[in-house]
Amino acid sequence: MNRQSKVVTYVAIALLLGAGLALAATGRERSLAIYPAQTIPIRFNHAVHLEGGADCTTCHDSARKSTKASDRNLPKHPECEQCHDIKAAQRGKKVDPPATCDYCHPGFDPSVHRIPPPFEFPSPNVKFNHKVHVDRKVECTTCHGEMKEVTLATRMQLPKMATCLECHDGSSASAACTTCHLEGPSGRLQLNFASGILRPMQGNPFGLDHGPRYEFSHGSRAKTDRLMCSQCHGESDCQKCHDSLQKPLAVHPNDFITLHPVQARAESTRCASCHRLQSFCAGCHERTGVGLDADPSLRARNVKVHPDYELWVNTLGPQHHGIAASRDINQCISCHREETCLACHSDFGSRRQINPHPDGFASMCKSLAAKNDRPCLKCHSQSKLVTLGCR
Amino acid sequence: MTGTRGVRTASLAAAIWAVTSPSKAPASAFLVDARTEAQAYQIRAYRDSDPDHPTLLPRRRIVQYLGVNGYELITGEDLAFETSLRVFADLGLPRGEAAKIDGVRAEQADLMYAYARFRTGPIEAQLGRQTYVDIIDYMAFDGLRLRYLHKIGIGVEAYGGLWVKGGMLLGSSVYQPDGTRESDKRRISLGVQGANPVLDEIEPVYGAKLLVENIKGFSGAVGYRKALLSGKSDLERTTVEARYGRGRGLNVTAGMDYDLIITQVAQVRGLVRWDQAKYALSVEALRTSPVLSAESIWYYFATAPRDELRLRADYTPVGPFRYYVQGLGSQYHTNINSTLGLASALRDPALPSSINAGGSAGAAYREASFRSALDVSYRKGYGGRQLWVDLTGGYTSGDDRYTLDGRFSLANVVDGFNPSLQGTFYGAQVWVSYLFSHSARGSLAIEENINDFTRSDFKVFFLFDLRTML
Repeated sequence: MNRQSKVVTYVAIALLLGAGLALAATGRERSLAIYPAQTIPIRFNHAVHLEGGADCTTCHDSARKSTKASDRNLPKHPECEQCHDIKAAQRGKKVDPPATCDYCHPGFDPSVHRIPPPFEFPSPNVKFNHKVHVDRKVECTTCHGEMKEVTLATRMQLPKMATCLECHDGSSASAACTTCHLEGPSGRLQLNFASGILRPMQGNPFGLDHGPRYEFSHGSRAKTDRLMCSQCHGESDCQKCHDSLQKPLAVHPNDFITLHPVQARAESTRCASCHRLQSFCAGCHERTGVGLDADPSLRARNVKVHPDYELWVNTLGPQHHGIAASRDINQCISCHREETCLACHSDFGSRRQINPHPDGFASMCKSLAAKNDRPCLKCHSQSKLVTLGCR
Repeated sequence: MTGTRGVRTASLAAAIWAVTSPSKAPASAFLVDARTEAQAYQIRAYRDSDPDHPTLLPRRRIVQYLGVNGYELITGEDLAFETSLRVFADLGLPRGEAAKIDGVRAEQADLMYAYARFRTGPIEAQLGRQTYVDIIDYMAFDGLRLRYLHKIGIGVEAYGGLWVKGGMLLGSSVYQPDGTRESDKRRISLGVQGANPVLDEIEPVYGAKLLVENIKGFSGAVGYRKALLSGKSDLERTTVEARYGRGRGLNVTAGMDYDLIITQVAQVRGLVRWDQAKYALSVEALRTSPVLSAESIWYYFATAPRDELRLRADYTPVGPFRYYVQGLGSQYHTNINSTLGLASALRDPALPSSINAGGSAGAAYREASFRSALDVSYRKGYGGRQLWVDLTGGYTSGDDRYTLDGRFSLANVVDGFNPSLQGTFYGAQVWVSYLFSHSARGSLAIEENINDFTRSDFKVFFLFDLRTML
């Protein structure tokens, strides 16, 4: 990388970091898929009302009997009129507390418009029953937080999943995902909503954050927590990448066919999570002339990917293929078939007959042969197995 | 007469009730999920060629997936079926050439999965071709899986069937045991000495797990799996999986795979993650070994595991940006029989290091219709050196009808094994998609890569997704 490219890269990173910090005070913290964006064009101050002696049910009494998340448990004029004399204010009287239209509906002039700007208050995409919670003596602040310093309540006063799970722990209340989340016809969670895609974010109480480059880091979780993954994902989701035939561009960018050897050497186990070495890899390598054991009627290969033959095979030094093979046999078997190794390592071979087994193999060969002796017989005769003490 | 009139009256009342009474409507839902993917690009071959006159092999591949799923087939019962059939053809690969290479097919139809599922209370059953993922591997089998999970969180799972293999009718080799050819039919037909007819035999596989699910935040499983090929062991392993998490904060997952044939630990994975609202820290440690069939000679070679450690921190301030930084280190261990002369080479100061270390950092932006991400990764050590810079950006129209995504990537690599593979590789992708209706989307992706090695490489992808509920 030349100096100019380095400067451009550093400047881009610095700009992105700076912009991120500058915008850090805005934006969202609640999932738009669960709580769609709202427009609440009123002036309201919870702190003042609470200080004035109101409690939650003064304005939100309907919540006590609400059984659906889509219920709008918001006060209307009758609730406000418990304290604000709207009718008197409309007649031009000066009242305290103030009750003119524009006191709560900023900018609204009834002589110009018939109705104030409308609320946009989409239903949340969860199941929720206020009544059940109220009946169980769950305080409003348990879910909505302390309101004494809140002015206008927004989506930020709606509970996050971590809050729900403080009680929904599997013993006090159900911890099943579908207790709160909507299901699709398949019985798995519904993930696509008009307001966004339900995707675990950072702070997810199960540590399931599907953040940047999750396609490269989900393996350990998927291998040990299949039941959790299956709450949202079916087999088709896994196969979109793991079927070895689709070419996920996010996973294999750039000229990946040319570049993949460097990546494969650094983390060859990852390749095997989608590609079978002895069919996908070895087959393609034989077709392109990299593999050694291709059918002789194919055009001859003329590429050399190993060090000099003397160093690679004959010299017992640091560049010997035995060391490379012991470190990463996957590299070998993504190009070679068993015959390559049998040529030298087998008893039946005419060449070196070098023992490829690890230390201590002799003491376990009898048990191995008892379980499956077919691979033994690829290199050894029955009588040799007896001689070696493996029968 | 009175009796007859009474019967008539009762019949009429029954008929009126049957016609007018509220009946339970069937709730069945059927989902058709189809994807067509066409790929057109070229692969550089190393046969009868040199860098200035490369042999380019065309890849003109068309892959068609057809998934048909039915849910709640009996009203009120969780009875469902899910299927996926994959048909593909590589029009750039002559059939005659494919027939000479094991594992390469010019055309094929694979039934990826097709099973019926039934769930009632604590019991779940799945019958048919299905995949199974756990700490050992990703496998597919034709058979039955049963799970019983009591409400107190203790359960058992058992499964058994035939391992899906490439040589079977509508079978794919993707999830079959590795380390041998997927089939030896070709070599047997040619009379090649040493061809193994056993590879094409059916392979029974069965296993069981004892489960613990969310008891005071703890979940886990102890499992066993065995596969038999022509009456002899092909795989026999036991596993332990454990997870702990009680809401935001500490989450731990771990797993171990113990090979009962060669009696050694094959794989270990552990992930510890600490989540708070604005940041997360995670440590992941892995010990991995190739999962090979006991039919393969390589299974018995002196090979060693690979260890990897990943440390990652994520920071998500309120706002559209999030950031992460990650450190990576890995080591291939070496295992040489001490009785061989080669063992002394392990003490040679010139022995190449088997350690690879590096890290990555990135930022992602998502707000309203726009998204973007920048990732920078660097690794050096065993295998070579590589620096990757990836910049992506995308836009989705407000009505979700159009999407436009782009990606620029820069890779500066030095391959530790192949000296001719080095330099800076530039790549760019543009992906455009259009939503024809609420259930059909078409996408076109083009990719151009420029580098000193292949000079120019152009790829075109076309995708059509249809997902509709009947």
